[in-house]
Amino acid sequence: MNESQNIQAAQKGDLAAFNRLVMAHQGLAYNVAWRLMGSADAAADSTQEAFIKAFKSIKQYRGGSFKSWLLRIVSNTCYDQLRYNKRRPTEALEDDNFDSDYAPHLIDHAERPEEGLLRQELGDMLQQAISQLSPDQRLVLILSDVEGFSYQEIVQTTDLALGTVKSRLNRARRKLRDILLKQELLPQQYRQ
Amino acid sequence: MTNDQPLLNRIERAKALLSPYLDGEVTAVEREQLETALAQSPELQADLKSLQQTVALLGEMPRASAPRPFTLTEADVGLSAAPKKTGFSVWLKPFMGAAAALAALFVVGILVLLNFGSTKEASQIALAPAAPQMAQEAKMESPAPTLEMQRAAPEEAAEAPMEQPAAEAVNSAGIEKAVVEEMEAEGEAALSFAEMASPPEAAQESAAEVVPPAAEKMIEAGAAMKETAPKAEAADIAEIAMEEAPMALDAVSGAVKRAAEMTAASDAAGDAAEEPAPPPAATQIAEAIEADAALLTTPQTATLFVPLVAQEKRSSAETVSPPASAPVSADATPEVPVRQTQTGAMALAIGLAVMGLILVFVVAIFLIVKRK
Repeated sequence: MNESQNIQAAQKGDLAAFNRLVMAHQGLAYNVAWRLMGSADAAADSTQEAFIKAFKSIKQYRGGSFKSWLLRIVSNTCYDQLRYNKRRPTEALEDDNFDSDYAPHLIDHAERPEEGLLRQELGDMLQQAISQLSPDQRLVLILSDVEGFSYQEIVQTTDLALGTVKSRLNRARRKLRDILLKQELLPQQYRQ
Repeated sequence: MTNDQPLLNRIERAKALLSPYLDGEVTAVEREQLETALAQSPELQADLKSLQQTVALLGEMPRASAPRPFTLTEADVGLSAAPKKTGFSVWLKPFMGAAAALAALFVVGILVLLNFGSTKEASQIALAPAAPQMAQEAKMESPAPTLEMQRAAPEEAAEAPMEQPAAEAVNSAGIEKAVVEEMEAEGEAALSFAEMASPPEAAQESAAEVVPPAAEKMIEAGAAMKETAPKAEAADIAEIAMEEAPMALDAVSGAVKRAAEMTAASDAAGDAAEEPAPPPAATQIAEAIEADAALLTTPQTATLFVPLVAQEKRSSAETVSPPASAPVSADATPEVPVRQTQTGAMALAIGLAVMGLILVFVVAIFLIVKRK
C-alpha cells in the first residue's frame, strides 16, 4: 500500500494503515519535535500525542502533503507543551539543557569516538542556541536548515505566507548567527 | 548624507535578500540587484559568509532516530471494545439511584439515632454534678432505718414458722440463683458505669442509696424465707443472712465513710482540675464498695443480697429523678423516658432496615426475571 492508500484506509478507521504512516514519518516528526522542545523525553511525549491527534483528525485531511499536514500537528502540539512549560518554568529549565549522555540513540556509532564526541558537543551547543530563538523562528529554521524543507513546504506546514516565511527565516538565521558568534562557534572575522 | 541614504537603503534591502539568496529563493531581478550590491560592499560579503557558515553548521547537526516506535494501540485512541450498555442497564440506572438514596437515608437514620442515644447518656452523666448534696443527705438519713431493721431482724427470724413444702423452697432457690447471676452482671455494669461517669460524690450516693435498702430487704427476705421454708437448708440460709446483715451494714457504713473522706480529699486536691474524666477517687470508691459487696456475698447470702442490691441499682437507674432520701437540686434536668425513646428509635431503625432489604430483594428478583 502506498501513502495515499494508507491515508484512505486510516480515514476509515484502519489503525494498522495509520501505523504504517506513523512508521514512515516518525523519524522526521520526532526530530522536529526534539529541536523544537530541546528535550528528548518531551519530544517523545509530544510526538506520541501528535500521532494520536493525527489519527483522531485524519478524516479532516483534504489532500496535499501528508508530511506537512502531520508536521503542523506536531509543531502545534509542541507549541502547546512549550506554553505549558512556560507557565511552569521549574520543570522546563532542566529539559532545555540537553545532554547527549541521556540520549544514546543520537550517537552515530559508525563515527570514531572522538569525532562523534566533537560532533555531539557541537550539536548540543547549536541546540542551546536554537532554544534561544522564539518558537516561531525556531520552527522555520529547523524545517529549512535542519530538515531541508523548501519554502513552499514550510508555507504548507506553517500555513504562513511566503513573504512571512522568508523574513522570519532571515531573522532567525541572523539571530542564531549572532548567538554563535558570541559563543565563538563562528570565526571572529564575521563580527561586525 | 543625502547621497549615502540610497546606498544604505540598498544595503539593508540586500541584507534582507541574503537569506533567500542562499536558498535560491529570489527572483532574477533581485539576484541581479543583490550581486551588484555584494560587489560594492565588503560588509555585505562578510554578512553573506557568516550566514552561509551558520546554515552549514545547522546542516551538520546530528539527526536522531526515534527512541521507540510511536505506533498506536487501540487503547491509545480509545478504540478498545468497551461493553455496550444494554437497555436493561439504562433502565436500572435511576432505580439504583433510588436504592442508593434509600440506603443513604438508612445509614443517616442509624447515625442520627446513635447520636441521639449518646446525647441521652450525656444528659444522664450531666446530672452527676448535682449529686454531692444528694449524697450528703443520703449519708445522714441512711444509718437510722438500717440500724432499726438490724435490731428487728433476729426477732422476726426467730418467729418464722416452717410450714412450706421442701419442693417449693428448692424451686425458689433455683430461680433466685438464676436471678442472682443476672443481677450480678447488672451490678458490675453499674459499678463500671459509676467508675466512668460519676465523680466521687456519685459513688458515695450510690453506696448510700442502694446498699442500705438492700440490706433491709435482705433481712426482710431472710425472715420471710424462714417463715415460708420449712426445709433446713432454707432456714440455714436465712439465719446466715440475718447474721451477716449487721456485717453488711458495717461494711456499707465503712464504705460510705471512706467515700466521704475520698470526696473531701478529692475536693481539696482537685478544685483546679475541671476535667470531665472520672477522678481516681471515684474508681477507688467503686472498688471499695465492690470489695465490701464481695465480703457480703458469700454463697449463702448471695441468693438474698445480690438480687436486692441489683434491684435497687436498677430501680435507681431507670428513673432520672433521685430517690426520696436524696431530693433533687433546683437546677436538675427534668425526667426523660430514655428507655421509651430508645425503643422507638430502634423500631424506626428496624423499619428502615426492613425497607432497605425489601428494596434489595425487589432489585434482585427483577434482575433474575430480566435475565431469564
